[in-house]
Amino acid sequence: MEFITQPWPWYIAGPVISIVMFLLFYFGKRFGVSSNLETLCSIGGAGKFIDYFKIDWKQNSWNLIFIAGSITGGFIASQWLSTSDVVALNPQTVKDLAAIGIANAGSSYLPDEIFSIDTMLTIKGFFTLIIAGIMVGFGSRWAGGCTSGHAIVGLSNLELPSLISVIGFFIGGLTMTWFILPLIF
Amino acid sequence: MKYIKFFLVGILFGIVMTKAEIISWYRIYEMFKFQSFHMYGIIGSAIILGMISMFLFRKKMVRTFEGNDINVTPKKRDYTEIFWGAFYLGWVGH
Repeated sequence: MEFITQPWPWYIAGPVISIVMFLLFYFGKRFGVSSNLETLCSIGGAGKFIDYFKIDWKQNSWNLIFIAGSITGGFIASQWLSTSDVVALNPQTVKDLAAIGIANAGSSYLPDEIFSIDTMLTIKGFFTLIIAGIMVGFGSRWAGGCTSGHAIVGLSNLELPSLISVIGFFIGGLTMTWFILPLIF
Repeated sequence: MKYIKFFLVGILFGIVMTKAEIISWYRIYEMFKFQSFHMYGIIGSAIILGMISMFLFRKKMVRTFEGNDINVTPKKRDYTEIFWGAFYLGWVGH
């Protein structure tokens, strides 16, 4: 049980993720998290305005159920399979974050400076999250997938578009980390 | 209940994302700062094992539980769109 409640190392997590992908293929589906955003748009009635969303969303309901399972799994893991939510970061990362105004990095999974309810209720905090949300929806539609569909499934399948998208994710992430974040805080 | 299997696989996914701290904003930041191997190890090992399973699908050594072939349909191929879309997503996904 000790082994379960500790944070899991990469050599457990990577194989488990590929098992998840494998099981979905075995059940006749393709692993991809962001497609659910399209499905939710269709359920919400976006098909009335845009033909792209005129799909029979019921064929994608397996994926919504998969996501519901993921949320449940996250709850199970945090409630019953963990003894603490401290993330053992590289001490240099903690210092770097302190330098740009994010204190106590690693004392929980997410920084309060971005994700706490108090921050969400400020104008800056509110717009940071709204703009981020819009960009996630826009980007995953434009690229035709997110990290799960492109990086994990696409690269495994040796698809060139996925390689390009992963390079794009990476340049985007590096730009944000090294140049934009220090300006935001 | 033909859907329950997807719920169960989802639970496994949610547990691993949480237990390996993959959902942690800090882990993603640390990765982009090249200050930890953790995330690279996860993505790298998932992809290598993924390639092996794709090989088994292609050789038809593994079929779906209903006995059908597994054909992984490639995604769309408009490279500039994909690149810029991905750039955006990487930007804020972070």
